[in-house]
Amino acid sequence: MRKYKLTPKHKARLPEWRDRWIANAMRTRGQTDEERELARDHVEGLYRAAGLPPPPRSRIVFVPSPIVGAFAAGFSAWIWETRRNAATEDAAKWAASMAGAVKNAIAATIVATWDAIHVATWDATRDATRVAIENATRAATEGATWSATWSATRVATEDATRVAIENATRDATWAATEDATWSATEDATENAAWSAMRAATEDATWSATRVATEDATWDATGVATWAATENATSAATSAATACAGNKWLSDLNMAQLALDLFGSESQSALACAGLAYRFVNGGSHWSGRSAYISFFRHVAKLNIDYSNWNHYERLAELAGPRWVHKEFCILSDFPEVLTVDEHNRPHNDNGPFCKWRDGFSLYSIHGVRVPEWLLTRPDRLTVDAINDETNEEVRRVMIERYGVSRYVQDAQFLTVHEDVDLSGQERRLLRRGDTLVVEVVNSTVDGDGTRRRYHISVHPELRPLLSSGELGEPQSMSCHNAVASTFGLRGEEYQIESES
Amino acid sequence: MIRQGDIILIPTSSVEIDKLQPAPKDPRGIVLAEGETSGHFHALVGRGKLFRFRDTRRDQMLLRVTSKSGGKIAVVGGEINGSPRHKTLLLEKGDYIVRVQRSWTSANASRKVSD
Repeated sequence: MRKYKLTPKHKARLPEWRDRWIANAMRTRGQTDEERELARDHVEGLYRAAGLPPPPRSRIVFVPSPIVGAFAAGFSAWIWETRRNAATEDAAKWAASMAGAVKNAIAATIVATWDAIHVATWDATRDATRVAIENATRAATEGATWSATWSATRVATEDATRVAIENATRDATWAATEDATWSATEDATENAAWSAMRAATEDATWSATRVATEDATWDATGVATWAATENATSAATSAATACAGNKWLSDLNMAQLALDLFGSESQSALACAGLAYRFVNGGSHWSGRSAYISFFRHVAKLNIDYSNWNHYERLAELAGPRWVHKEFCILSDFPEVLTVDEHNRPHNDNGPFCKWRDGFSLYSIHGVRVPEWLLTRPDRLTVDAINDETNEEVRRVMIERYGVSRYVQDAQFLTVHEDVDLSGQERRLLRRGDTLVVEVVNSTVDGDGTRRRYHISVHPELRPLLSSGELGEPQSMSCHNAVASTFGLRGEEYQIESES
Repeated sequence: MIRQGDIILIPTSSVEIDKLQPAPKDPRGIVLAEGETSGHFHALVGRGKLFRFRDTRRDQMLLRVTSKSGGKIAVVGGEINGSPRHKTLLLEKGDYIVRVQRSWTSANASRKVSD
């Protein structure tokens, strides 16, 4: 096959195409009703492209955020799996109880996120739970014994689970959940539909395009879009999806919700939520590939069959992340806020860098995920709070917000090195743990006769801080090397002739 | 090598002309850097031009002082108790790479120092 060669005319359109898809990935305008209807059409198209019957339109469910999507998809997958395995009467009865629990939970308004998960779970599993109820009715004669067993075990298992989840660290919880229920949840979160769809749409077109084109075009569209959006969008989506099973257990008290919905089976359902990433697609947040492939479709007009790909491309514009299951599809809205810094890292100094329309928010300072209180409750930022923080990156951000000079004074740093600079002013290199700062005094005297004292954070190994964000090689501990490193230089390169 | 607060000027003769892109025009003059907190800025007093260029993977700034008698670097605005933040410094005619001081903020990241 003769390779397409980028023409000057087409090349001139690369920046426009890249920017269009970057804007798509960073979209914060909410989904419209028309877009939801269109998205349903294209979800059906995706299933058909993969040779699968689409779920009924009522089971193509829209949710306000990926956190709701991840839990609802995981829970729904578990319900469908339980339904599939409800061969024994006990299981059918359990399913019936669960259906009741789902309905009760929907009726109870606790938190917006919970409600959204309830509704989405119910919408995605209505048929499964209804059938389960029917199965359970057929076995009504044994209801009395079942109820007794259920009551007897539920309290004990609930208590045990609650203690395990509330007391254990998130990692321990995850490990325990995964070990106990891995094989069951693997089946429940089967991603055959996801794989088939991907093969039929994205992968097929991807291969055809790559064969027909040159790497340079991929760099100019896909890689460029990816580079500009990956940090922020993956932080916004992955934080809420891949970690659904552990991190958010404590943050949103999802363990309690799972207990309400699933009783003694809550661990399995939570594990399914943790594995929901297995059948997620980033939608608008994965715009890199769409930027690349669509360029050849719409600009270069390659002779490739795009009929299957069309559904994928349109969905990347019509919705956020989606969970594709044989029995249902759940799609998230776009975020309401999504901000980055000059290096495209998730960042907002004054609020969430990412906020979804159900209020679910994520906070980040120059790419470092930080707790909400750091931005909303500055009074809680103390030397103790900084020292108690175990994550070094978060701690550095805290020190910056506290004020490096104030922290150096309040936290009693040790002097590593001291000398006198060119203008005769004292300098000190100070360390506390992995935090290293150089203290310098301004060579110019202020109007009141005093000189200002600065504390500048430097790399723990005094590596030169290059303007590209890269680092030079480590240097020995001296004030001179420390100051040189702040200009991207090594000590031996930093030879000042005049200074003010 | 000349330093004024959070900027340094490194004399150079090795930057190729064809790599240079003129910096966007600034109505305030030839502005090398500016402070975020007080509104002050470091500027060239005298004739010259400011360029941007890319060296390996770094975006760099080059100041060309064109006047035979050289020029001066002054801090405009942001006075403290009526005194300038930094004294004015003399520059000879020639090319200088301009670098702004950075501080370490977190793993793999640094930011410009703003005094």
